Amino acid sequence: MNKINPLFILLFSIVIFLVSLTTLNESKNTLKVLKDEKKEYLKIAINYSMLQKAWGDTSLAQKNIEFMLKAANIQNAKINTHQKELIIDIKNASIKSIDKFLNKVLNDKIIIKDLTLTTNSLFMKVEL
Amino acid sequence: MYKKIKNKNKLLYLTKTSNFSFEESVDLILSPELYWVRIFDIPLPNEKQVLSVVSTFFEDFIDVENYKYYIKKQEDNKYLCFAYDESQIIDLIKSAGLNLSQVGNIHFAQNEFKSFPENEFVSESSFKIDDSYYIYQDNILIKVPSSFISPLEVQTIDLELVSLSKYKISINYNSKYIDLKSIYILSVVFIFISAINFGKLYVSCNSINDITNEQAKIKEKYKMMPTIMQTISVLKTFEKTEKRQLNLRKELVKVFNSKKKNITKVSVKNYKVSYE
Repeated sequence: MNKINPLFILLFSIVIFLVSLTTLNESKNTLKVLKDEKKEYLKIAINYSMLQKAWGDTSLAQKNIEFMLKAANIQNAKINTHQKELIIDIKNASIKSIDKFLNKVLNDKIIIKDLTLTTNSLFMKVEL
Repeated sequence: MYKKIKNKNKLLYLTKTSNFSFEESVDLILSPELYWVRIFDIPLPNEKQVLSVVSTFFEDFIDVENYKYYIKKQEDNKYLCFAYDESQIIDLIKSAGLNLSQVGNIHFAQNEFKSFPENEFVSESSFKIDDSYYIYQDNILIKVPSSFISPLEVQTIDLELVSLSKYKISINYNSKYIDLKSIYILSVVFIFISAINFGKLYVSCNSINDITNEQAKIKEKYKMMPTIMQTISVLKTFEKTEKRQLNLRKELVKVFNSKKKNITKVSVKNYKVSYE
């Protein structure tokens, strides 16, 4: 068997070294990109979670509205649900009660689609 | 006597005029014309220490800068010292028609023929190889003209019968600028750094896996959509809704706080506020 030329051993070790260096650099770059992506991902996740809780969860909207009507002492409000919309129709109510109810609605995260307000009535469509 | 080793490769005798045609691996015996050999009394305990000073003993015969040295201890403070020109040997191997990678062990003729079987008809230690005559004189093998020896008294050595000694040299075939030791040291250094790099690569790959797992945990914790694209799409819808609703509330507050006393009706249609 012929002897292995030591220069081939050196060349082989250099090739291994270069391969290891290149692979390590690629891996480091991938890691850096992934770390940046993770930061961005976390930022998106927090925003999503926050906004989802604020505007995405409409399941409690009807209960909240009913609670607000009671708090504003409005008895004669009609509440109907139509195609993912909650329609609130208040007639012949005091301006004070309407003002109190509207203040509560505006301070809550309720998606108002339509609103018609007069001194003694309020008509509102809320997204469910 | 020294230990004999069994020859695995074809044995060739290299002289300044050799010409071979072999393709298999070979071992070489260097003719005396390819090296200098002297016995020196040097008061040092071992070959290694002798090697470090031996060049000064050859200064009178050769240009010591171009030579390499090999030491064989004979007895206490007495050493058989060889000096050889590596580049000359490499050139001769090439000119003899051999490939450098074919060459296995290289031996000095000085060490290889001492135990050759003698017979009663030949002079005590003279012999013939490839039409050249050699004789041991004062324990040093020298090449002699044929006229010095009677051809009838000389035995021709069959290289097939020679058992090589353990005394051999290694030739750096590779470069004048880098020796064999440096090549191996560099190789080890590169392999060592490569091993460290692969270790770091392993850690890096683990970190990549960890990040992927962490993203899955984040997704679960914040109850995100199945894909990031869906999440971003829904997020944009939420942002749009928030912007519209906050603007709507601002507009309504503006209307409620306006100084106009005669507003009787406020309407919101398509996120636009109007009043009468």
